[in-house]
Order: sequence, then structure tokens, then C-alpha cells
Amino acid sequence: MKGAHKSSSAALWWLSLLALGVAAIAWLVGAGDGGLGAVGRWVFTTQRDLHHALTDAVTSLDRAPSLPAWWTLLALSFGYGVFHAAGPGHGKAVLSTYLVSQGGAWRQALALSCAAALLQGLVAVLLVLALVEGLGWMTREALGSVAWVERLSFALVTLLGLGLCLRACRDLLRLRRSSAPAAASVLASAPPLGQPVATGHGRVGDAFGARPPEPVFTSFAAVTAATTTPSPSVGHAPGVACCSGHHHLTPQAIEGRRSALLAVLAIGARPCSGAVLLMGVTALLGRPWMGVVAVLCMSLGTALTVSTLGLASVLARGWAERRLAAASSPRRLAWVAPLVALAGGVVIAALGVMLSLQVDEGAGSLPLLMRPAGTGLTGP
Amino acid sequence: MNKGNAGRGGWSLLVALGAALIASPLQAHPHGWVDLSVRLEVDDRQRLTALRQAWRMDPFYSLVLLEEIAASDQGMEAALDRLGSEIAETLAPQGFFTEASRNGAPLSFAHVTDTSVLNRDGRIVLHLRLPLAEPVPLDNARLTYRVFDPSYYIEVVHEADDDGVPLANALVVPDGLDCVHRILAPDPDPAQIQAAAELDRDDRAAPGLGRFFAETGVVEC
Repeated sequence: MKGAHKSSSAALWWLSLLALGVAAIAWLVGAGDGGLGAVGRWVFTTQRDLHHALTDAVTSLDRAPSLPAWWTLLALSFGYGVFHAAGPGHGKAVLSTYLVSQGGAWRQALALSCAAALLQGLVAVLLVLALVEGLGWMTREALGSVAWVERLSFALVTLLGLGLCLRACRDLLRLRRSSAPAAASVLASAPPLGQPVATGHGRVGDAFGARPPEPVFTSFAAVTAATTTPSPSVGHAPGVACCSGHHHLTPQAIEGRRSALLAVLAIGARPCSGAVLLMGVTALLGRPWMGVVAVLCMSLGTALTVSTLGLASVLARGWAERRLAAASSPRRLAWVAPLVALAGGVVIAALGVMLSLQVDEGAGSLPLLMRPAGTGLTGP
Repeated sequence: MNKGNAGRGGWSLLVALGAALIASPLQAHPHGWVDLSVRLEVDDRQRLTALRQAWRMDPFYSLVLLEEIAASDQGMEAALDRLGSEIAETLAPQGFFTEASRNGAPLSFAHVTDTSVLNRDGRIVLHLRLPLAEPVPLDNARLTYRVFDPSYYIEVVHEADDDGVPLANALVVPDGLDCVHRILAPDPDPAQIQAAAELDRDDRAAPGLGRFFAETGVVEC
């Protein structure tokens, strides 16, 4: 027990990290209307100016197409993406809580951030093309549909959080049992616990099922491998990286990839209202391709900001891990990781639930020039 | 590795991360704007009777509205009229986004009387007349007003040139009055904004962020 004191003081670091995350989320959820600092104000006004400039650029490009006008539009779109950051604010909170609490290598963080940002743009493009061009909806109705995609996205956030909780619980259970002699045989019964979590990719399960240290996850992966993934573009992304994150604190690779995929979906499913509006307007002008290109540029800008945040999260966790490793015994460390993962899962699930509740409350309070509640230009 | 340096690096990283997350509420930036012009309406005793306003919707919002108008089978004129009354209906419970005071005392308004909607060069323009509950004298008065969307989803700005200098029609005071007028740019104070956000949670304070980003029209007579 001589390590107890050290490990508890080290756990304090983790707690303060998580507390930071929680505070940030409370801020995000509670202060949708406020919380601006001096830097914030600058970001704020820049965002607004970019929005104005982007509107002008589209209008003038529509009236008189020219190469400089195109460059202006693309540059503004990129800048808008950078400043709009994670598009929906919750994306950033989910991403950094996820990376800090679950761990992951920097390459995974990059892949996850970029995939989420690009998915966001893709959803905006496809939403408008499908609803307006495909189904013949009015643009205003299509814009209103963002509220529904938003609900879906928040549900995915909740699901992700719950999944992470279940996974962490199972890891804790496994750890507890592994101290008993019959550990290996008992382990095999654990997987069903995690079943609802599964949003997997067949290839992922196959590739990692063969890894030696985790027979439990092999069988789990086999059960869930058939689950399909809606976005092939993100399927391969996090995988490249997760081997290099082979740390004593890093959660299991397979599960990691599965939850990374869910994280990408949860963050990326909700398109940014600005992108949907831009897409809708260019479609209205009869130039949907202009919108597609501009929205993709926007996504690149968003990817830049989000991956910076992702990398910062990985660095922050790495730093805390090193401090912890220096301070405690490996045996205690084994307990810290799943506990932190559990806390992260709880935070993300709570965030998902809070956001879901907020959608309904906020829907009617938006100052729409026309029909209130649910239709029209909704979004944060 | 030097432990002290590593610690400092770690902390600054955490601070940066926190700052990035705290920037999240900034998502609440406006997604559309309105170019505003205001004209004071006075009676023959030089009392203020109404604020006549014209709201010129931004090009994107206008396009979306125009699509609906074009799709209407009632014809352009009827569709524009209907749009006007729909907007009036939506905005009435929100006081037409208008707040005004005379010598610091808030003024109360009656229901909007004339609304009309035009399509001017691809921009939808809403004209409205917001009458005061009762006329107020303007001599030795300092009249201030703000027009804003409390949630700041739509930004309302006075008509201005590219450099942000208000145009002559941004705020018009009738000729017979001996008044000076100007438009003050918003100067939001972070602490004030934070306080407003906190009050909002209880639904007690008049809402919002939009107020702190609103321009103030000032008329001194």
C-alpha cells in the first residue's frame, strides 16, 4: 500500500483535468448566450465579418463569375471554417473530453478531428442536395431540418457516453477479476455487457481480433463485427494511429476504434448551420457546385481548428500520464485509466442528455422572422 | 526531462485547452442580418408618435424568402403581403425587437400599424410603423433606442457604407426639430454579457446577448 498516497495525489491531476472538462461543458451548455472574454469578442466579430463577406462573395460570384471571385469565396469559406471551429460547439467538448479521458495517439486525434470535420461538411451538402434537389423541399424547410439532424447527433453523443461508461465498467470488472486466479475463464462472460455500445466496423474487428493480449475483445468483436458503419470515409481513419498509442494507460485498441468511429459520427453528424445555409443558397441560385466546393473548403478550415484542439487534448493527457506514471505503481495505474475513462463517459453522456433537452426548450425561442419553433434558420 | 519545465508546459497546455473550450459559446454568432433604417414620426405638436422602421434582410435570407414567395400561387403582391403579416405576428410578442427610452425612462409601444414588404433588388425590405403607446414631447429630451434580436441569431445594424459609417437614411429626424442625432456602435463589456447570460437562465432578466451587440440610436433635442 505504499503507493496509495502517491497514486491518490496523481489521481488529483486527472480529476482536475476532468473538472476542467466539466467546467468547460457547463459553460458551453449553460452559457449559450454569454461567456465572452476579450479574445472571444475578437473571434466573435471576426466570425460575423466573415459571414457578411461570405454572403457578399456568393452574391457577387453569382452576378459576375470570375477567377478572383472564386478565390475570394474559397478563401472566405476556409476562414469561416477555421473560426467556426468545431461547427457545433458541442463537437469540441465531446472531442476533447473523449481524447483526454479515453486516450489515443496524436495520429488518432488528427484522424478523428479531420474525419469529423469533413463528415460535417458532407452532411450539409448531402442534406441540401437530398431534400431540396431530390425531394423538392423548400430551402427553408431544408434549413429547418437541421434541428432534426441535431437531435440525432445529440442522441449519438449520449450513446457514445453510455458506451464509454459500459466499456470502462467492463474494464474495471475485468481488472477486479484478474487479481483472482481464474481470471481468464471468467473474462469470457463479460462481453455482453458492452453489446449495446457496438457501432463497429467489420474490418476493424478482424484486423485487431488477432492481437495477442486481448482474447476478450476478440470474441466481443466477433459478435459485433457485423454492425455496419454508415460512413466509409471515416472507417479507416483512426486505425492507422492506434497502434502507436500503445501505452500502459491506453484503453484497448479495438474498442477504441469502435468508439472513435461513434465519436466521429456524434461530432460530425450535425452540420454547421452556416454550411447548410450556404449550400441551400447556392442551390437556390442554381449553382449547387459552388456550394459543394465552398462547404468543403469550410470543412478544411474546421478540420484545422478541430485537429489543433485534438492534438492539445492528446498532449494534455500525455502530460498527465507521465506525471502519474512517475508517481504510482503500475498496478495502481491500471485502475486509474478505466476510472478516468468512466468519468469521461459520464461527462459525455451527460452532455448528450443536456443537449437533447436543450433542443426542445430552445426551439420556440429562436427569433425567426417567420414561423416560430422548429422551422427556419435554427442552430446555435 | 526537467520536471519544472514539463509542469509549466503541461499547465499552459491545460489553460489553452480550457480557453479553446470556453470559446464554445461563441458559436452563438448571428446567422443573418438586417440593415435597419429608422425615421422618427412626430405630430403637429412636435411630439414623438412612432418609430418608422425599414428592415432590409440580408441577401441569403432574402433568397430563401423569395423562393417561398415565388412558389406561392397567389401572386407576388399577395405573397409579399402575407409575408408581412406573418412577420408581424412573429415579432409582436417580442416587441418588434425594439427598446426605447426617453431621458432614461423606458417608452412603451402599441401594436405595429402598417407593415409592408417589398422586393428591392433581390433584398426583402420590411417596412413597419411602431407607434408609441402615447406621444411624448421631444423638447429637452434625450431619446435612445435599440433594435435587436435578443438571441442575436439575427444581427440588426443601421444602414452603413462599406467602412461602417452610417448612411443618411439610417436615422432620420424630421426637419422641423432642433435635434442632433448619432448612432453609437455597440461596446459589449464581457462582464456585463456574462451577467446577462446568468440572469437568462432564470428567465427573469430581459433576454440576451443581442442587446450588448446592438447599436444605439441617440436623438438629443
